[in-house]
Formats: sequence, C-alpha cells, structure tokens
Amino acid sequence: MKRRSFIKNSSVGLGAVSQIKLGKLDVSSFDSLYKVEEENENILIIVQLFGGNDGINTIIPKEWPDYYNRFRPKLHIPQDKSIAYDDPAKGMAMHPSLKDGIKEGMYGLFKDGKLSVIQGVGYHNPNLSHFRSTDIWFSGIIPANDGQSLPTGWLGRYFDQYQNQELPDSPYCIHVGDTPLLLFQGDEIENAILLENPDDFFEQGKSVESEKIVLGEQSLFSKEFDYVNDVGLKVNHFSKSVKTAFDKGANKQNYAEDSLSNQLKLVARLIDGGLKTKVYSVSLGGFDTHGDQGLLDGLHSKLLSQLSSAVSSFQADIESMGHAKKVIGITVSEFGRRPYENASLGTDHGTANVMFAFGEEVKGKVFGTSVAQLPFFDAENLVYRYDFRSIYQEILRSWFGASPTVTENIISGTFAYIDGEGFIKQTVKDTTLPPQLVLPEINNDSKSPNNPSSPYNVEKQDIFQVFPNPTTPDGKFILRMILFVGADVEITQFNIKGIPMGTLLKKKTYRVGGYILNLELNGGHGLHFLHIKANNRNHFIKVMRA
Amino acid sequence: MAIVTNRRSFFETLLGQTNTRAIQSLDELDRPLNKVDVYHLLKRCCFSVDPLYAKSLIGKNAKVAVTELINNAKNKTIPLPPFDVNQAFISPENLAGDAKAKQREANLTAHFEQNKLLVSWWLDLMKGDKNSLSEKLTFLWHSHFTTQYEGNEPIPAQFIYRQNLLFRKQYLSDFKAFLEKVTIDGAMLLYLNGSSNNRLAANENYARELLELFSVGIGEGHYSEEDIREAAKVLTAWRVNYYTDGGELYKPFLDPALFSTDQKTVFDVSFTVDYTVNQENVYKNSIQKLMAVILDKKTREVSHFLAQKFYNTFVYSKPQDQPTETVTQLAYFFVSSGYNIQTTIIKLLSSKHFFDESNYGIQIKSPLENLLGFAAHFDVETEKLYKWVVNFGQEPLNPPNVSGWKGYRSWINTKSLPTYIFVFNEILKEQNDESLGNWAFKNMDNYDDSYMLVENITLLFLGKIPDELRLEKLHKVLLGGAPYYEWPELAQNKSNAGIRIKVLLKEMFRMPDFYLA
Repeated sequence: MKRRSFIKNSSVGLGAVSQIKLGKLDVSSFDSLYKVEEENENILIIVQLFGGNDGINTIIPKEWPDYYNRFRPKLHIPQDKSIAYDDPAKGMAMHPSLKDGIKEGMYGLFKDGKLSVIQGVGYHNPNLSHFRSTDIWFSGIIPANDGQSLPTGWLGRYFDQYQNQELPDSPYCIHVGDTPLLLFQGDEIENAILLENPDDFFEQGKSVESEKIVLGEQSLFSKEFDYVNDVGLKVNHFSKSVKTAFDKGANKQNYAEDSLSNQLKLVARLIDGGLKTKVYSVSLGGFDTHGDQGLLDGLHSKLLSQLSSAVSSFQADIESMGHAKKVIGITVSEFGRRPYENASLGTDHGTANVMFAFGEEVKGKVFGTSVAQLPFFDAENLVYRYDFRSIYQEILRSWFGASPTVTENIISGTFAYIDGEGFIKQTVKDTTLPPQLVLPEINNDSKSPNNPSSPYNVEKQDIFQVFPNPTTPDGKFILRMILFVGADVEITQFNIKGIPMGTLLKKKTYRVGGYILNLELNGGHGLHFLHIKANNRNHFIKVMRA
Repeated sequence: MAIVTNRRSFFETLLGQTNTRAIQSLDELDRPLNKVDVYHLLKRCCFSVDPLYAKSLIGKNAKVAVTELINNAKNKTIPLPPFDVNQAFISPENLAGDAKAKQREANLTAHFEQNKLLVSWWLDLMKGDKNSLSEKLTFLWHSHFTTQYEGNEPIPAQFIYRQNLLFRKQYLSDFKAFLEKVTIDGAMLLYLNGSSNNRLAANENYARELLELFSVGIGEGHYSEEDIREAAKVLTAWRVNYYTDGGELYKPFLDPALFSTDQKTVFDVSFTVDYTVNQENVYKNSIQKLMAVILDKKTREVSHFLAQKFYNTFVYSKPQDQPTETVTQLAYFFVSSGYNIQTTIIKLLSSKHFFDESNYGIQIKSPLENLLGFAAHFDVETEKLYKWVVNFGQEPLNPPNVSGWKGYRSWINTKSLPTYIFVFNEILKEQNDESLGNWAFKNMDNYDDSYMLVENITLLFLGKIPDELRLEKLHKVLLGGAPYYEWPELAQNKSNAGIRIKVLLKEMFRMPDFYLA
C-alpha cells in the first residue's frame, strides 16, 4: 500500500483529498487508527458460500426440542453426533463436519481462539431471491424497494478512492474465479482482477496490448477505448506481479483436493510470495439445498466438510508462513435457510445466518445465541440479531484503517459494532456508534401463554373455501385452506345420504399458512359433503356438483 | 445558449481541440451515405458486415438505406428449427412412482436438447444475416421481453420457438399490440408464472415485470405495490398446454373459472367484470384494456423507457441517469407515431444524430457482436460459436435472469478480454491461408494497395479507422518488412497474402478498438 494512497484513504472524507499536501502533515487532522508512518498490510479473505448456507444445521440449537420434533423431524443433526463447543449452557453445538481438516478443522480453530462464530446475521426486510440478496450483501446497501438498482459493491466503492493514480504493483482485489462480482464493482471500473491460474494469466498478459494508447481526443469513443485499453493494461501489468508472487511463494501445509481448498491454496501462496493485494475472494457453491439436503453423509455435510478443511489448511499454512498477524477471513452467504424443513427433505430460503470469521486477529468466541433464542418475524422466518453492515464497517475501520467518515460514506450509515465491541481483536470501542439492537426475550415453551406461537394462544380458526361452488361439470374444484396452526389434514367426501364417497385427500401434514388444493369430487351431479379433519378439528362443507 | 457555443468554439479553435459534442437532432440526414456511414449503419443493424452489400448502399439516402434493411427483414422467410415444433409431451402427473419420474426425466431431457437446437438455429440465422434488421430487432425484443428457456422449470422449446416467431411478427408493429400479445405468449406465461396466476392466489410475478421491466420501468412514482397486486388480478386465468391429454397444444387459452371477477383498480382506472367471462371478452376488457391504461397513464414513463432502450441498442449502451435531449425527442416521437416501432426506428436510424461521427465506434460489442462480427466472414462451426457465447455469458434464449443482460462495459473484464484474444486466434488458426487471401481479394476494395487494404480491413473490424500513426504501424505489420510497392506482386499469390493478413489480424485482436463498433 503506497503511503500516498493510504493517506488519501484515511483523510476526513473524500472531498478533503485535494487539500492534503504531502510532506508536513498535521497528524491531529487524522482520525485514522494507524500512525502515518505505518503501512496497513492487512489482508481480508472473503469465502462466499453460494446458494444460502443452512446456518441452523451448521451451528445446531442442540437443546431446543422443537428443532428435533417440530422444525426438522427428518433433517436434524442427531444430538449425539453434534460437537459440543463453547459453553454448553448456551445450547449450541457444531455440525460434525466442522471438525474435518488439519488440527480438527474449524472446531480446532475455535479451541485455539481463532474462530469467531457470529449467530443471527442478516438485515431488515430481507430479500429471499438469490440474485437480489447477493447483490444486497455485495453492495452493502439495503435498497428502498425491489426496483432500486445496486450498481456498485462496498469494496468496489472503497477501492475507488485509489483511482487517478498509476496502477499499483499488485491488484487491490483478486477474485478467484471467472465471473466478475458486484462486490468489487466501483463507479466506473471493476477493482478486482479475475484469476484462476497465474501461469495462464501470465500468458494472457503477454497477449494483450501492454501500452497505454493516447488518442489525443476527448470523446465518447476515446472514453470507451480507454476503458478497454485499461482492462488490457491491468491484465498485462498484474499478470507480472501475480506470476512473480506465485513463483516466489510456497505452500507449507497440505490441502485437500477440492475446489475451495485449491482456491485458498493459491491465495496463501500469493500472500507468501509477497503480493500486496488487500482482498481475496474465493467461493464454494451448492448450498441451495431445497431438496435432499442430506444428513451426516449428505450434500450439506459434504459442503461444510470442504469448508472446514479448506479454511483450516489455509489458516495453518498462513501461520507456518508467518503471515498470521495480517490475514483474517470471513464467510458470507446471501441468506440462511428456514427452520422448517420442506417436503423434499430440504430447506428453503431463510434469514438470520451464521457468519464465521477466522484468523489470529479475530476474537475466538461466540457472538449471539442459539437460533432458539431468535424470534420469528413471520410464520417461517427468524429475526436477525446483527446487521451484516456492522461487519463491513468494522473491517473498513478497524482492519483497513479507514476513517469513520469515509466508512460512513461507503456503507451509507453507521452501525453498532457486534455487541458493541466487534469481532476483531484490535477494534477500539466507539461510543458514538449506534447501540447494538436488542431482541425481545423468547419463550419457546409451546404451552406457555407467553409464547405467541403457542397453539393455545391462537384465536382464529382454520378457513376452508371451495370454489367454484357449484363445481364445473367434471367435478373439479379448488379448495383454499388457511391454517393458523399446523395440522394433519384429511378430507373425505360423503353424499347427502351420509354414505362415504371416498377420500379426496389422504392425511397430510401442513404447516401454518395458506394453501390451494386442486381436488375432484367423486360421484355424480348433486349435493355432496366434504368432511375436513384438521388435527382434532372438524369442518363440513356442502359442495354442489353441476 | 448561442453565446456559450460561440465562446466554446472560439476557445476550441484557439486550443485546436475538436468539437466532440454530437448533434442532438433527430432530423433526417440530408447527405448521401459515404462508405464510413454505411459501415456504421451496418455494424449497428446486423451482426456482421458484408462488404459487398455495404458497397450497394454507398451513395444512397439514409432513409432509403434504412428502409431497405427493414423491408429485407419483413420479407425474410424463417426456416423451421430441426425438431418437431408441434410435439406433444406425455404428462407425468397421471403416472405413478417410477414411471412418473422416468417420464419427467424424459420430458426435461427433450426440452433441454431441443432448446439447444433452437439456440444453434438462431445463431445460424444471426451469422447469416447481413442485409436486414431482422436478427438485431428480434434480439432487441428478446432482451427486452426476457424469457429464459432454463427458467425455474425448463420451458419446452416449442414455446420458445413460438415466442421467437412472435417477436419476428411484431418487431416493427405498434408497441401496444406487442404488449398484448407478449402477455399471453406461452413461453412468457410459463416463465413468469402467468400460467399459475388464478383468482384465489394471484401470482404477481408477471404483473411486476410487466411494469418494472417491460413497459414503465423503475422509478419514483412509476407504479405502486398496489398497482402490481391489482394488475395481477386482471391478468388471471390464462393457461397453456403442451401435454397430450390437456387439450389444444401451444395456444394460450382462458380458463374462465380461474378468472378474478373482483373489481380491480390499476393506475386509478377501474376494471369491472360486467361481461360474460369468456376468452374474447377477457382479452378485450382485461388484457387490451390494461395495456391501453398503462400507455395512457404512464405515457411519459413508457415512451422514455422504450426510447432509451432503442437508443442503447442502436447508438450508445451506456446507462444514463437522466434521458438526453435526443432520447427525449425520440420518446415524444414514439408517442406521436402511435407507438409505432417501425417509424420510430427509421426515424432514429436515419437521423443526423445517428450519423454524427462522434457516435461512430462508441459501442462496446457484446459477445454475439464480437464473435459473429468476425466469425461470419470465415469458416467457423456453429457448435464452436455456441460454446463461446455461453462462455462469454450471452447464450441467446437464456439470459442470466429476468432483467436480461447487463451489457455495456460488463462485457469486457480482466478475464473476458484475454479470452477473446485467445478465441479469435483460435478461429484464425483454423483458416486456410489461401482462402483468407481470396476473401480479402473478393471483399476488400483496393486489394493491390497495401495501405488502403489495411485501412479497409480496419474499417470493417475496428470501431473506427485509426489515425495515421496507428494505421502506419498496422501497415508495417502487414508488409512484414517488405516495401509497399512489392505488395501487389506478393498479393497475387493468395496464400502469401493470406499469411500476411493473418499477421495483421492477430495484431488487430490486441487493439482496444477491435472490441468497439
């Protein structure tokens, strides 16, 4: 990080940049945490878990009966297989896959005080579409409505401050992959390079135009021409420093042979080789487990195993190389998954996920509680405890040394540090920041009158509506069903003489919610009765077949 | 205003800078088209430029040339794709257990395979179209009324094909009719859940995209959540069928039982169901009426939104926060023409603004434009092209999501740029030296003049003809050390010429303006 760029970054607001003169600097005008002579060498690793990681099966609410009986009768992680960690009284345990890898994987990292477990991360009014929620996480902005465009990423905006200079020696950010991420998109350009193979990249670097071509005009043509030219220059320029670092660096630990491990292996090697890149992003996909999420040897477990072994190998490697003081990482995922499993042995998009931070410089503790302590905000989804922007804010200010003003500009606001103290060791408390959100106490006892979700507290009855009534001549109709309490529903048909005419719906479990059922009457024209049984409640509806 | 312009030009003359502000006017260009104009027009209207066809347009009046491109589009016959467009599928619903899963699998496999055939079919059409607006227009509407064959559930290719035909039938018609027909198009009904929208559980997906992406666009006060909810009710009950036992195939129909007979209000206009609920009446009083209401109540928004789309496609794809003077003028024109797409496109494409030189070469080419623009001249298998367009993120009929392709500078990044260079070199490697020489001989003017030959090749493949300095550099590359007066003799041997032109093209792949049009 060149000194000039560092100073520009730490100034009181971008507008003051032009006023800063080098040489005699007024130290008191800085509100940065870093002394002017020091270079900020800190590096951030972002591990994307694409698809929406199921946080509830990752950090299991071990002591919550509803987890086993009500929400995940088929998909819970058995109590005796989960890994106890932290204070058992908190009721949380780890998925067994988190023990996979060097030195007992991520579980081992927690034991060594190098893993933060941040429970219940999310944001207000969550969007549950992959595309949109990923954009929200990447941009660091909560849009006012679904239509608001999110053109830039929080890191893109951060590194935009370093524009108008010659290209630095190393790319500011590297995404290990082949598709650009909104995460690094700045106002005009992308602030990351895409890297998969440094040797290939080096060859590609030779193939592009390596000189800045000056057209000598100021036109739309020259603007677009310059853009393409600059992309080529970046490829050419950075391919050299990347290759140099790649050749110089050497991994010291073993890694597994999977995609995520290979990505992190490359990152560790580049860091060891002296590349000055500040942010690396790596990714693992497949977390969108709507169906067949699997149990201990299933899809989700395998993914968590990959995550654990890749991260633990990486951390061990970084330590062996001697870079542990300057490298931390976080996991991000566009959303969590719902407490209720679905009918396809999977889970659907949810909220309030777990986020991990790893490295020697993060606090080795748990923030937040078991998901049992998170209230629901609708029939399906949990309230969040920590706003994800708190984490971005802390990274910018505490890890990268950005000034509060610059940070506030980039993430459009100020937020509490996690629990007021933050997850990074060197974070200094700031009483000018908003206080941590306090969630209401949860009563999970289904019989308690203080539990709003308890069936005993439900006042409304189920609603059943048939139409068209009379049905069409072929006897087909739609049954609209609203259940205010989950129930086993069964529907049988009787004619006016009370003679059973068959079962229209075999006993099936439905959760709270509204449903549309397509059904068909047996028998001929005339009046029929539907007997709808919902748990112990009986409803009778007259239906006419035309 | 006048004073500022004079002062500016005074200073610019003083400082020797060129005035680079484009003419804003949509008035018709009043001079005949020269060679550079024609290439500009064809680069924007076709996926590749045929130099021989380009010759035929030189000297013509802009409107005449544009009208010719439009008439060629209208008169084009489209071949059938290589699969049964009337195939009926067996529904897995009535089967049990294993048979059900097997049938589902068979259906999905067929859908994927046939859609891939359809994409190849379209790539061939794009590759082969050098003298009409048909493919560009079809693609414009495909990017606007987005549908992905992959969707949440793959959509049968029979529907995607029919949607493509719809675009070809409507692409120069009036926008209101277009909106009406797209709303009940089979592929669209499946893609945006119109086909499961019913009176009990209205599905808002299409209603939302209809307003947000297809007509009004996003903006302060453009529409409310209430409008979307109500519009969804207006749009209920349309269905399509592609199963053997489900009735008529591929033709959308209304299921009256599912139609919402509630009173709805969209943009303060009431939709009362005081008529018999049948297909004809519902189409007239719900679909057609809704589109009329949208255009009537949101005239300013719709016209600007669409005018901006036309502008982005044909002039400059940079996203604008505020509409420019030209776009505003185009919007007014669009409205006054009765939302007539043909008239509006002709107006734009034959205007002084379109033919202002400062608008030449400013478009960053999309993968289709890049790859086809080059490959169409040479021998390249469609299969390879298909693989590459997917790689670069622009598979036709399969945009990444409902908002289409981001476009503009997103096409060129640190990964795609070197990959393009690699791919173009691959294409070049496969070409026979002699056929390359023959190609240049047949298509390029001044084949015997090495400098002019270079200039003509740059006009074809670069955003603009480069300045003297850069042209001279390229000239040297072509000659490879030989003096220029030896070129005519050297070039008589088409193999030798081909070798030299290959070296020239390789150098051009590295130039930033190779990626501009």
